[in-house]
Amino acid sequence: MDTPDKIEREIQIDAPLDRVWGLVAEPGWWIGDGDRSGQRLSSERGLQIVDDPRYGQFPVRVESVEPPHHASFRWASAFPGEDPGEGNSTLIDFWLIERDGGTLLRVVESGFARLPEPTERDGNAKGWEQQLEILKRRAERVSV
Amino acid sequence: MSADQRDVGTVFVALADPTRRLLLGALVDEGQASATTLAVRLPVSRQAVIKHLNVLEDAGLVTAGRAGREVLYRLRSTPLDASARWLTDLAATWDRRLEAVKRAAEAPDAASGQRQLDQPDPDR
Repeated sequence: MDTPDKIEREIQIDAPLDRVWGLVAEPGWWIGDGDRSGQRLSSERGLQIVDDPRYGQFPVRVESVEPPHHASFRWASAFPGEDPGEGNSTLIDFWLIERDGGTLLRVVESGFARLPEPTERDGNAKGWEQQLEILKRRAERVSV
Repeated sequence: MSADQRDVGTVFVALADPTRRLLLGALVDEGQASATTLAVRLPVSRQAVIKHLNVLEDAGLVTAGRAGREVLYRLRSTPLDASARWLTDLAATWDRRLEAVKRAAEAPDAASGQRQLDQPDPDR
């Protein structure tokens, strides 16, 4: 069942799948919104670390790489400098499909409900499997 | 966007519990209701209802007001609107990122797929 604590977007690219794959498989390529000048890249603790002059430092964990159709990464986008882990991170999935002589690139970022909730009183934040009708309706109304 | 994302996370987590979603649905139907009324509608105790209402109140999703001897709860949609707006903003952010990778992939001089998404820093 779909959960609304995720975002899905896609774009059609007039380039061969392998070329798009080469760009998309690079951990943290999305950081900086396309402007990667001034970024420093390093590798520590099994994480790829992107240090962006404007947005800060983001350790990225490579979750899975299945060339040339799927790659997924975990990052703590709301917590610059923190290693992505349980409770602070979201998962980014990229899917590539050959289409119309080019490549359809689809992204899904999911897991926003896992971000910590400091004031929750019962400490029980389970059961996200179920659909969140209210928010889903609203989210679908305002997005495309 | 950190603070916003934390607020949205709070809303998502508050909504993650099925009983709390039932509570919100009941409040949509009733307009406003006491914990006693809500406990009658739901398969949980009044104590559990109050506990869940507290979580929803912390996330800003319900407000409590006194009416005589009763405390009446009412749905507050502002955090839902804010969450929806945040999701829309995030969608726009991803659109920008996807546009950037599209530009890089479609650039005629993109020799190999491993090229950076824009001009490399000359100092590097």
